[in-house]
Amino acid sequence: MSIVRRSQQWGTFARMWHVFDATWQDPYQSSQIIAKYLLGRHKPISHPMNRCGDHVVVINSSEIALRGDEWQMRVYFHHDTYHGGASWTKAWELHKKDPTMIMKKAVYRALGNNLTRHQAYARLHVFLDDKIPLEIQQNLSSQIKQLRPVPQRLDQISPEELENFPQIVKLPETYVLT
Amino acid sequence: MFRLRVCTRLAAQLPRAALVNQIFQREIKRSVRPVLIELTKRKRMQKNPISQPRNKWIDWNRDAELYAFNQRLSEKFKTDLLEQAFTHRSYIIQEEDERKKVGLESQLQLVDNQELIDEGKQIASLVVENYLNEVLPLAPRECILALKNYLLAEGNLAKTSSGIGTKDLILTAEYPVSEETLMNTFYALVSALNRSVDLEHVGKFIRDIVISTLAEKDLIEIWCPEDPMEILNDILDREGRAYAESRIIGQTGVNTLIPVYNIAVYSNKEFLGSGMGDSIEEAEKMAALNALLRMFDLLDSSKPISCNLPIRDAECNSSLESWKRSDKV
Amino acid sequence: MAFARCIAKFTKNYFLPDSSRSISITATRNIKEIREVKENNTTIIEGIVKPHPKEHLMLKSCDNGACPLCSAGVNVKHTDVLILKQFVRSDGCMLPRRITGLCNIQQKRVGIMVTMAHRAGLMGTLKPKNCRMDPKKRRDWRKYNTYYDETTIKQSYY
Repeated sequence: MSIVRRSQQWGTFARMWHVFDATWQDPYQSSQIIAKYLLGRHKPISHPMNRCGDHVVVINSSEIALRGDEWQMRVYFHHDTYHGGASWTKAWELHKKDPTMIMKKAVYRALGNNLTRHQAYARLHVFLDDKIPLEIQQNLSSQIKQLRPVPQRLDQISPEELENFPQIVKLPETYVLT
Repeated sequence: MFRLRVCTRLAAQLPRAALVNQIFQREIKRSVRPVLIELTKRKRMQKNPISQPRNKWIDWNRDAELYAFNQRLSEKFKTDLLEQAFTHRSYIIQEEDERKKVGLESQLQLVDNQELIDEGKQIASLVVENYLNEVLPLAPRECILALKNYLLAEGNLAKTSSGIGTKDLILTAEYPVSEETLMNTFYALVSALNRSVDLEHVGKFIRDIVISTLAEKDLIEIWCPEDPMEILNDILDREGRAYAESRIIGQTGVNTLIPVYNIAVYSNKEFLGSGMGDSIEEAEKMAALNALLRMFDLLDSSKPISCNLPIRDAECNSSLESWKRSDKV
Repeated sequence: MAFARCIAKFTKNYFLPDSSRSISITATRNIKEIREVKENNTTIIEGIVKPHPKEHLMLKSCDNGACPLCSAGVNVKHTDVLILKQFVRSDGCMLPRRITGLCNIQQKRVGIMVTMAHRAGLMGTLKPKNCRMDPKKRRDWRKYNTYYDETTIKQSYY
């Protein structure tokens, strides 16, 4: 193999490091995307016999958003193998205990049940806020696009934007809002 | 009555039905396997297997083989020249010795191919160099010479020569035939074809048989410039442009065991080439090499070497010391 | 209470009959502007209806009979608080349909999306007094981020 081919090969099979900002993202929907990157399914060289998965660093996992009433309704089951040892933990209780747990569990499930799961899961790094070790930060080279735009709260919008936003409703002349 | 009618109909269709339902069995007979096993066993048991050249076998018809050789290649070799091209000096000496042993005094009417070999070497070298200059006009002279040496190397030519079927036709004292003899026979054939037809036709012969093997090769494996950054800077200096400046345009996994750096070289903000590597030095070297290959038109993505150009004299490519892009483009 | 109000009204009308009315008890609406024009010997005093302060920001109205939101042709989500804000009072309540001028379906949709925005804590400034502005200070699961899916709203055109 010539050195040009070797260099080309090195670049093709590079293990990339992606960062994913989980702020206001649904963990169950974004885990599908993250699993795709962890298994390398987004690459043209992807093949079941080819291990080409990338690393994904998930930041701000404490800021995830669940849909509707899922914080209350989604339940995580655990059994400690003893008699009567079953326990059901609500999503918000689990999140209170460990803010990275829901994200990790979602990705673990999205990776599918086969032997590639363990290696791919080892390439996932979840952090509850945006403070990540410098060692990992230097490895990063790309960003995964968020699924949903982060919503803006009304009190965070600048007064200029509030003033100059187009008006859709024309209230009656005699009707004045207090 | 009904059954009878059915029977009559069947009887009427019998010849046709028999044809349709015929089963052709194409299996291997049961007796073949034990025979082959036995033969293989005996072959293995042999301590010193006697191997004989094909032309010593009793069913060998040399005239027919020579005719077939000509027809196979669709060439018009003159028969006496072809005969001469295959006859090596060692064979003549051996034959004469044997005759003396027997007591025959008359001289052999054979001519050896030494003269043809010398002539063929010059022709082949000339044709290959001219053609490579023609198809790779931007490549430096060093590259052309390296490719020529690769094509006309002993191993490569011996492979080509045995590929066109000279191995059994060669008349020589040694057995099995050495690579050098095979190569020399090819040169002799080239010269014989030159005398039989003309030089242009020989050019096409060499182009189709020898040069076309380059199409599947990685040219950089055959020729790769040492220290590409220095060469690139020399060329840029000669063209009156700014020196190459390398920048990291991508990197990933820096703190891991498998870091990847993607470095590009620029001259006065103009992109020249980019390369990957596991360290910055390596990637920088690859980027400079990529820039050079872009200039020389030797990239993987550039047009492959065409094997259908006419054979004519081409002027020599400039060497690396005097290579300039403005000369050619 | 009603009795007290009666007395207050009575007092205002009969005991303080101030004709200049420079001090008003209710809030000034500033709907009309009083303008004084002098022409020769005549002085004209007239009340002119002031133009709306955000008249220049108003979208062009289409005369196709559709409601303002339908004719604007925007796919409103519950996160578009700047649009939803135009349909609510200062305490975050939805305005009635006769004021907003929306069609039946849009009025219902906007109403539901306003609720969603309130629950997601996106319209903290538009709340009754003594309400928590910051959704992070809520209790239990309410303090975690929640989003809603607009396709769950039954009222829609398609």
